[in-house]
Amino acid sequence: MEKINEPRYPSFKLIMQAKKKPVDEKTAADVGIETDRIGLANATTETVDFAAAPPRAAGTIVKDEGDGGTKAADFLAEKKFV
Amino acid sequence: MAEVLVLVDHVDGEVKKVTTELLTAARRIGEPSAVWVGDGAENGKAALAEFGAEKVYTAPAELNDYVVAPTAQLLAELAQDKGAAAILVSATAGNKEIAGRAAVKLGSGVLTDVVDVNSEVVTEHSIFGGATVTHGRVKTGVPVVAVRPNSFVPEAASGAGAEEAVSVDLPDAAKGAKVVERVVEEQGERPELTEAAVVVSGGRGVGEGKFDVVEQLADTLGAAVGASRAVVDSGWYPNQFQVGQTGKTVSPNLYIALGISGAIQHRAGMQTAKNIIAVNKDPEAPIFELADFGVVGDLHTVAPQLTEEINKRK
Repeated sequence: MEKINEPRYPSFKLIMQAKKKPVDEKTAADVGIETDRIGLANATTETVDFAAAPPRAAGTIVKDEGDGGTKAADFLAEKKFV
Repeated sequence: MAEVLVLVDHVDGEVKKVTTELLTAARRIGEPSAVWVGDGAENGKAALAEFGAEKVYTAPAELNDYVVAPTAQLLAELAQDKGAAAILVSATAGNKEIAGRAAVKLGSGVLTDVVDVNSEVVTEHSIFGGATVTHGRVKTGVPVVAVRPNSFVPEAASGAGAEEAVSVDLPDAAKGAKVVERVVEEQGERPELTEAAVVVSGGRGVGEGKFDVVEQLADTLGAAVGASRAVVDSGWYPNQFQVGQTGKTVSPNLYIALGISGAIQHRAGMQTAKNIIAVNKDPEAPIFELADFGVVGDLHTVAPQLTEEINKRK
Protein backbone atom coordinates (compact mmCIF):
# COMPACT_ATOMS: atom_id res chain seq x y z
CA MET A 1 0.00 0.00 0.00
CA GLU A 2 2.85 2.37 0.79
CA LYS A 3 3.90 2.27 -2.83
CA ILE A 4 0.77 4.03 -4.05
CA ASN A 5 2.02 7.60 -3.98
CA GLU A 6 4.16 10.21 -2.32
CA PRO A 7 2.32 12.08 0.48
CA ARG A 8 2.29 15.87 0.23
CA TYR A 9 3.65 17.00 3.58
CA PRO A 10 2.54 20.49 4.66
CA SER A 11 5.18 23.16 5.10
CA PHE A 12 5.53 25.05 8.37
CA LYS A 13 3.88 28.05 6.74
CA LEU A 14 0.84 26.02 5.77
CA ILE A 15 0.57 24.55 9.26
CA MET A 16 0.53 28.06 10.74
CA GLN A 17 -2.07 29.18 8.22
CA ALA A 18 -4.24 26.19 8.99
CA LYS A 19 -4.30 27.18 12.66
CA LYS A 20 -6.05 30.43 11.78
CA LYS A 21 -8.88 28.74 9.89
CA PRO A 22 -12.26 28.90 11.60
CA VAL A 23 -13.49 25.66 13.13
CA ASP A 24 -17.20 25.13 12.67
CA GLU A 25 -18.53 22.75 15.31
CA LYS A 26 -21.77 20.92 14.67
CA THR A 27 -23.72 18.45 16.72
CA ALA A 28 -24.94 15.17 15.30
CA ALA A 29 -28.48 16.56 15.16
CA ASP A 30 -27.27 19.61 13.15
CA VAL A 31 -26.09 17.40 10.34
CA GLY A 32 -29.20 15.23 10.35
CA ILE A 33 -27.92 12.14 12.11
CA GLU A 34 -30.53 10.31 14.13
CA THR A 35 -29.05 10.52 17.61
CA ASP A 36 -30.92 7.46 18.79
CA ARG A 37 -28.89 5.37 16.37
CA ILE A 38 -25.40 6.40 17.39
CA GLY A 39 -23.18 5.99 20.39
CA LEU A 40 -22.27 3.01 22.50
CA ALA A 41 -25.76 2.62 23.97
CA ASN A 42 -27.25 2.22 20.49
CA ALA A 43 -24.57 0.00 19.01
CA THR A 44 -26.01 -3.16 17.48
CA THR A 45 -23.10 -5.31 18.58
CA GLU A 46 -21.18 -5.62 21.81
CA THR A 47 -18.07 -7.31 23.08
CA VAL A 48 -19.02 -9.77 25.79
CA ASP A 49 -15.51 -10.40 27.07
CA PHE A 50 -11.90 -10.49 26.01
CA ALA A 51 -8.78 -12.23 27.24
CA ALA A 52 -5.25 -12.94 26.13
CA ALA A 53 -5.18 -16.02 23.97
CA PRO A 54 -3.86 -19.07 25.79
CA PRO A 55 -0.17 -19.46 24.91
CA ARG A 56 0.69 -22.28 22.54
CA ALA A 57 2.23 -25.25 24.26
CA ALA A 58 5.96 -25.34 23.59
CA GLY A 59 6.76 -27.54 20.65
CA THR A 60 9.58 -29.93 19.96
CA ILE A 61 12.60 -28.30 18.35
CA VAL A 62 15.25 -30.55 16.84
CA LYS A 63 18.56 -29.75 15.21
CA ASP A 64 18.98 -31.10 11.71
CA GLU A 65 21.64 -33.80 11.72
CA GLY A 66 20.86 -35.15 8.31
CA ASP A 67 17.53 -36.55 9.45
CA GLY A 68 15.48 -33.36 10.04
CA GLY A 69 13.10 -34.14 7.18
CA THR A 70 12.54 -37.69 8.44
CA LYS A 71 11.80 -36.42 11.93
CA ALA A 72 9.35 -33.88 10.55
CA ALA A 73 7.68 -36.69 8.60
CA ASP A 74 7.44 -38.68 11.85
CA PHE A 75 5.66 -35.72 13.42
CA LEU A 76 3.24 -35.56 10.50
CA ALA A 77 2.61 -39.29 10.78
CA GLU A 78 1.94 -38.93 14.49
CA LYS A 79 -0.63 -36.22 13.73
CA LYS A 80 -2.09 -38.40 10.97
CA PHE A 81 -1.30 -36.02 8.10
CA VAL A 82 0.46 -38.76 6.18
CA MET B 1 -36.51 -24.57 15.78
CA ALA B 2 -35.77 -21.36 13.93
CA GLU B 3 -34.08 -21.38 10.58
CA VAL B 4 -30.48 -20.30 10.16
CA LEU B 5 -29.70 -18.96 6.71
CA VAL B 6 -26.38 -20.06 5.22
CA LEU B 7 -25.18 -18.34 2.08
CA VAL B 8 -23.69 -21.02 -0.16
CA ASP B 9 -20.30 -20.49 -1.79
CA HIS B 10 -20.21 -22.52 -4.95
CA VAL B 11 -18.34 -22.77 -8.21
CA ASP B 12 -20.39 -24.16 -11.10
CA GLY B 13 -22.60 -26.31 -8.91
CA GLU B 14 -19.81 -27.52 -6.69
CA VAL B 15 -20.24 -26.56 -3.04
CA LYS B 16 -17.13 -25.16 -1.39
CA LYS B 17 -15.85 -26.77 1.80
CA VAL B 18 -16.40 -23.61 3.82
CA THR B 19 -20.15 -23.93 3.22
CA THR B 20 -20.17 -27.37 4.84
CA GLU B 21 -18.37 -25.77 7.80
CA LEU B 22 -21.06 -23.09 7.99
CA LEU B 23 -23.84 -25.68 7.87
CA THR B 24 -22.16 -27.52 10.74
CA ALA B 25 -21.97 -24.28 12.74
CA ALA B 26 -25.57 -23.39 11.85
CA ARG B 27 -26.85 -26.60 13.38
CA ARG B 28 -25.76 -25.36 16.80
CA ILE B 29 -28.08 -22.38 16.46
CA GLY B 30 -31.07 -23.85 14.69
CA GLU B 31 -32.17 -25.52 11.51
CA PRO B 32 -29.83 -24.78 8.59
CA SER B 33 -31.37 -23.44 5.40
CA ALA B 34 -28.96 -23.03 2.52
CA VAL B 35 -29.34 -20.02 0.26
CA TRP B 36 -28.14 -20.69 -3.28
CA VAL B 37 -27.73 -17.77 -5.63
CA GLY B 38 -27.21 -18.68 -9.26
CA ASP B 39 -27.40 -21.80 -11.38
CA GLY B 40 -26.31 -25.32 -10.53
CA ALA B 41 -28.36 -25.87 -7.35
CA GLU B 42 -29.64 -29.24 -8.63
CA ASN B 43 -26.05 -30.50 -8.66
CA GLY B 44 -25.05 -29.05 -5.32
CA LYS B 45 -28.22 -29.80 -3.39
CA ALA B 46 -27.17 -33.30 -2.33
CA ALA B 47 -23.93 -32.02 -0.81
CA LEU B 48 -25.89 -29.45 1.20
CA ALA B 49 -28.40 -32.01 2.48
CA GLU B 50 -25.51 -34.24 3.50
CA PHE B 51 -24.39 -31.56 5.95
CA GLY B 52 -27.82 -30.95 7.43
CA ALA B 53 -29.49 -28.39 5.17
CA GLU B 54 -33.23 -28.85 5.75
CA LYS B 55 -34.11 -26.38 3.03
CA VAL B 56 -32.33 -25.06 -0.01
CA TYR B 57 -33.57 -21.70 -1.22
CA THR B 58 -32.58 -21.10 -4.81
CA ALA B 59 -32.45 -17.62 -6.27
CA PRO B 60 -32.05 -16.77 -9.96
CA ALA B 61 -28.61 -16.19 -11.46
CA GLU B 62 -29.74 -12.70 -12.42
CA LEU B 63 -28.84 -11.59 -8.88
CA ASN B 64 -25.21 -12.18 -9.70
CA ASP B 65 -25.38 -9.68 -12.54
CA TYR B 66 -24.96 -6.94 -9.99
CA VAL B 67 -22.34 -6.48 -7.29
CA VAL B 68 -23.29 -7.72 -3.77
CA ALA B 69 -26.45 -5.60 -3.23
CA PRO B 70 -29.03 -8.06 -4.65
CA THR B 71 -27.73 -10.93 -2.52
CA ALA B 72 -27.86 -8.70 0.55
CA GLN B 73 -31.44 -7.76 -0.32
CA LEU B 74 -32.35 -11.42 -0.74
CA LEU B 75 -30.84 -12.48 2.58
CA ALA B 76 -32.51 -9.63 4.45
CA GLU B 77 -35.94 -10.39 2.96
CA LEU B 78 -35.59 -14.12 3.55
CA ALA B 79 -34.50 -13.55 7.14
CA GLN B 80 -37.62 -11.46 7.74
CA ASP B 81 -40.04 -13.79 5.95
CA LYS B 82 -38.76 -16.93 7.61
CA GLY B 83 -38.06 -15.45 11.04
CA ALA B 84 -34.45 -16.62 10.82
CA ALA B 85 -32.37 -16.91 14.01
CA ALA B 86 -29.16 -15.87 12.25
CA ILE B 87 -27.48 -15.45 8.87
CA LEU B 88 -24.11 -17.10 8.30
CA VAL B 89 -21.74 -16.28 5.46
CA SER B 90 -18.10 -17.09 4.87
CA ALA B 91 -15.75 -14.22 5.68
CA THR B 92 -14.62 -13.37 2.17
CA ALA B 93 -14.31 -9.74 1.08
CA GLY B 94 -17.50 -9.87 -0.99
CA ASN B 95 -19.51 -11.76 1.59
CA LYS B 96 -18.51 -9.37 4.35
CA GLU B 97 -19.94 -6.56 2.28
CA ILE B 98 -23.11 -8.57 1.77
CA ALA B 99 -23.24 -9.16 5.53
CA GLY B 100 -22.94 -5.45 6.25
CA ARG B 101 -25.64 -4.48 3.80
CA ALA B 102 -28.01 -7.21 5.00
CA ALA B 103 -27.55 -6.12 8.62
CA VAL B 104 -28.36 -2.49 7.76
CA LYS B 105 -31.55 -3.59 6.02
CA LEU B 106 -32.50 -5.70 9.03
CA GLY B 107 -31.49 -3.07 11.57
CA SER B 108 -29.24 -5.62 13.21
CA GLY B 109 -25.49 -6.04 13.61
CA VAL B 110 -22.61 -7.87 11.95
CA LEU B 111 -19.90 -9.99 13.54
CA THR B 112 -16.98 -10.64 11.21
CA ASP B 113 -13.99 -12.98 11.16
CA VAL B 114 -15.68 -15.28 13.58
CA VAL B 115 -13.80 -18.43 14.60
CA ASP B 116 -16.43 -20.04 16.82
CA VAL B 117 -20.10 -19.62 17.62
CA ASN B 118 -22.43 -21.08 20.25
CA SER B 119 -26.16 -21.78 20.31
CA GLU B 120 -26.91 -18.25 21.57
CA VAL B 121 -24.97 -16.76 18.63
CA VAL B 122 -22.23 -15.49 20.91
CA THR B 123 -19.23 -15.46 18.62
CA GLU B 124 -15.53 -15.91 19.24
CA HIS B 125 -13.00 -13.72 17.46
CA SER B 126 -9.26 -14.07 17.29
CA ILE B 127 -7.86 -10.54 17.14
CA PHE B 128 -4.52 -8.71 17.29
CA GLY B 129 -3.00 -11.43 15.16
CA GLY B 130 -4.31 -14.19 17.38
CA ALA B 131 -2.93 -12.69 20.60
CA THR B 132 -6.34 -11.93 22.08
CA VAL B 133 -9.62 -13.80 22.08
CA THR B 134 -12.87 -11.86 22.32
CA HIS B 135 -16.50 -12.85 22.42
CA GLY B 136 -19.16 -10.74 20.83
CA ARG B 137 -22.88 -10.73 20.21
CA VAL B 138 -25.48 -8.80 18.30
CA LYS B 139 -27.79 -6.91 20.64
CA THR B 140 -30.73 -6.38 18.35
CA GLY B 141 -32.30 -8.10 15.38
CA VAL B 142 -31.09 -11.06 13.35
CA PRO B 143 -27.33 -11.50 13.84
CA VAL B 144 -25.30 -11.59 10.64
CA VAL B 145 -22.14 -13.63 11.14
CA ALA B 146 -19.16 -13.85 8.78
CA VAL B 147 -17.17 -16.98 9.65
CA ARG B 148 -13.50 -17.45 8.84
CA PRO B 149 -12.84 -20.53 6.69
CA ASN B 150 -11.35 -23.60 8.44
CA SER B 151 -12.81 -22.58 11.79
CA PHE B 152 -15.16 -25.54 12.03
CA VAL B 153 -14.68 -29.19 11.26
CA PRO B 154 -17.51 -30.14 8.89
CA GLU B 155 -19.68 -32.90 10.35
CA ALA B 156 -22.15 -34.74 8.17
CA ALA B 157 -25.80 -34.89 9.28
CA SER B 158 -28.58 -35.70 6.93
CA GLY B 159 -31.05 -32.94 6.17
CA ALA B 160 -34.12 -32.93 3.96
CA GLY B 161 -32.60 -30.52 1.45
CA ALA B 162 -36.05 -29.45 0.25
CA GLU B 163 -35.65 -27.06 -2.64
CA GLU B 164 -37.68 -23.88 -2.71
CA ALA B 165 -37.31 -21.26 -5.41
CA VAL B 166 -37.23 -17.72 -4.10
CA SER B 167 -36.88 -14.40 -5.82
CA VAL B 168 -36.55 -10.82 -4.84
CA ASP B 169 -37.69 -7.59 -6.44
CA LEU B 170 -34.61 -5.53 -6.91
CA PRO B 171 -34.89 -1.83 -6.22
CA ASP B 172 -32.89 0.38 -8.59
CA ALA B 173 -30.46 1.06 -5.77
CA ALA B 174 -29.46 -2.60 -5.80
CA LYS B 175 -28.64 -2.39 -9.49
CA GLY B 176 -26.11 0.39 -9.06
CA ALA B 177 -23.04 -1.66 -9.87
CA LYS B 178 -23.29 -4.16 -12.70
CA VAL B 179 -20.91 -7.05 -13.30
CA VAL B 180 -19.75 -6.71 -16.90
CA GLU B 181 -17.21 -9.49 -17.12
CA ARG B 182 -15.99 -12.51 -15.20
CA VAL B 183 -12.49 -13.87 -15.67
CA VAL B 184 -11.44 -17.10 -14.03
CA GLU B 185 -8.13 -16.64 -12.30
CA GLU B 186 -5.49 -19.13 -13.41
CA GLN B 187 -4.46 -20.85 -10.23
CA GLY B 188 -3.56 -24.32 -11.33
CA GLU B 189 -4.23 -27.43 -9.31
CA ARG B 190 -3.53 -26.09 -5.85
CA PRO B 191 -6.29 -25.21 -3.37
CA GLU B 192 -7.18 -21.61 -2.57
CA LEU B 193 -4.83 -20.22 0.09
CA THR B 194 -7.38 -19.10 2.69
CA GLU B 195 -9.43 -22.29 2.40
CA ALA B 196 -6.64 -24.84 2.21
CA ALA B 197 -6.36 -27.44 4.99
CA VAL B 198 -2.59 -27.44 4.58
CA VAL B 199 -0.39 -24.47 3.68
CA VAL B 200 3.32 -24.59 2.90
CA SER B 201 4.98 -21.16 2.97
CA GLY B 202 8.41 -19.98 1.99
CA GLY B 203 10.33 -17.00 3.30
CA ARG B 204 13.53 -15.15 2.60
CA GLY B 205 15.55 -18.25 3.45
CA VAL B 206 14.26 -20.01 0.35
CA GLY B 207 16.26 -17.79 -1.98
CA GLU B 208 15.50 -16.31 -5.35
CA GLY B 209 14.24 -18.68 -8.00
CA LYS B 210 14.23 -21.66 -5.64
CA PHE B 211 10.57 -21.73 -4.79
CA ASP B 212 10.13 -25.12 -6.43
CA VAL B 213 11.36 -26.68 -3.15
CA VAL B 214 8.29 -25.13 -1.47
CA GLU B 215 5.96 -26.06 -4.31
CA GLN B 216 7.10 -29.68 -4.38
CA LEU B 217 6.43 -30.14 -0.67
CA ALA B 218 3.06 -28.40 -1.07
CA ASP B 219 2.05 -30.66 -3.93
CA THR B 220 2.92 -33.84 -2.02
CA LEU B 221 0.57 -32.71 0.74
CA GLY B 222 -2.10 -31.30 -1.58
CA ALA B 223 -1.38 -27.96 0.04
CA ALA B 224 -1.61 -24.33 -0.96
CA VAL B 225 1.60 -22.34 -1.35
CA GLY B 226 2.14 -19.19 0.69
CA ALA B 227 4.94 -16.67 0.93
CA SER B 228 6.23 -14.13 3.41
CA ARG B 229 6.30 -10.45 2.72
CA ALA B 230 10.06 -10.48 2.12
CA VAL B 231 9.54 -12.92 -0.71
CA VAL B 232 6.68 -11.02 -2.30
CA ASP B 233 8.46 -7.67 -2.01
CA SER B 234 11.52 -9.13 -3.69
CA GLY B 235 9.33 -10.32 -6.53
CA TRP B 236 10.20 -14.00 -6.01
CA TYR B 237 6.57 -15.03 -5.75
CA PRO B 238 3.30 -13.34 -6.77
CA ASN B 239 1.55 -10.95 -4.44
CA GLN B 240 -1.68 -12.91 -3.97
CA PHE B 241 0.18 -15.63 -2.07
CA GLN B 242 1.38 -13.38 0.72
CA VAL B 243 0.49 -14.57 4.22
CA GLY B 244 0.49 -12.04 7.03
CA GLN B 245 -0.88 -8.76 8.22
CA THR B 246 -0.83 -7.10 4.82
CA GLY B 247 -1.56 -10.33 3.00
CA LYS B 248 -3.96 -13.15 3.68
CA THR B 249 -4.93 -14.62 7.02
CA VAL B 250 -4.89 -18.38 7.00
CA SER B 251 -6.04 -20.86 9.62
CA PRO B 252 -5.21 -24.28 8.20
CA ASN B 253 -4.89 -27.58 10.03
CA LEU B 254 -1.23 -27.66 9.17
CA TYR B 255 1.11 -24.78 8.37
CA ILE B 256 4.67 -25.45 7.29
CA ALA B 257 6.99 -22.44 7.38
CA LEU B 258 10.20 -22.82 5.40
CA GLY B 259 12.89 -20.22 5.88
CA ILE B 260 10.49 -17.82 7.60
CA SER B 261 11.82 -16.11 10.72
CA GLY B 262 8.33 -15.33 12.01
CA ALA B 263 8.10 -11.55 12.21
CA ILE B 264 5.02 -10.44 14.12
CA GLN B 265 3.39 -9.30 10.86
CA HIS B 266 3.72 -12.78 9.42
CA ARG B 267 2.57 -14.49 12.60
CA ALA B 268 -0.56 -12.35 12.56
CA GLY B 269 -1.56 -14.12 9.39
CA MET B 270 -0.98 -17.70 10.44
CA GLN B 271 -0.81 -18.24 14.17
CA THR B 272 -4.31 -19.63 14.45
CA ALA B 273 -3.15 -22.63 12.43
CA LYS B 274 -3.77 -25.82 14.39
CA ASN B 275 -0.36 -27.41 13.77
CA ILE B 276 2.75 -25.48 12.84
CA ILE B 277 6.02 -26.90 11.55
CA ALA B 278 8.99 -24.58 11.07
CA VAL B 279 12.29 -25.10 9.34
CA ASN B 280 14.88 -22.37 9.81
CA LYS B 281 18.64 -22.04 10.07
CA ASP B 282 18.45 -19.61 12.96
CA PRO B 283 17.64 -21.38 16.26
CA GLU B 284 16.61 -17.99 17.72
CA ALA B 285 13.98 -17.32 15.04
CA PRO B 286 10.67 -16.30 16.67
CA ILE B 287 8.76 -18.76 14.48
CA PHE B 288 10.05 -21.53 16.78
CA GLU B 289 8.05 -20.04 19.67
CA LEU B 290 4.92 -20.93 17.75
CA ALA B 291 6.01 -24.18 16.19
CA ASP B 292 4.65 -27.50 17.37
CA PHE B 293 7.60 -29.03 15.62
CA GLY B 294 10.72 -27.17 14.56
CA VAL B 295 13.81 -28.19 12.67
CA VAL B 296 16.91 -26.04 12.99
CA GLY B 297 18.68 -26.58 9.72
CA ASP B 298 18.88 -25.77 6.05
CA LEU B 299 15.48 -25.97 4.43
CA HIS B 300 17.08 -26.94 1.15
CA THR B 301 18.08 -30.27 2.67
CA VAL B 302 15.22 -30.71 5.16
CA ALA B 303 12.29 -29.90 2.84
CA PRO B 304 13.29 -32.27 0.00
CA GLN B 305 13.91 -35.03 2.54
CA LEU B 306 10.48 -34.38 4.05
CA THR B 307 8.90 -34.46 0.59
CA GLU B 308 10.60 -37.76 -0.14
CA GLU B 309 9.58 -39.27 3.22
CA ILE B 310 5.96 -38.27 2.71
CA ASN B 311 5.95 -39.84 -0.74
CA LYS B 312 7.43 -43.04 0.72
CA ARG B 313 4.78 -43.27 3.44
CA LYS B 314 1.80 -42.58 1.23
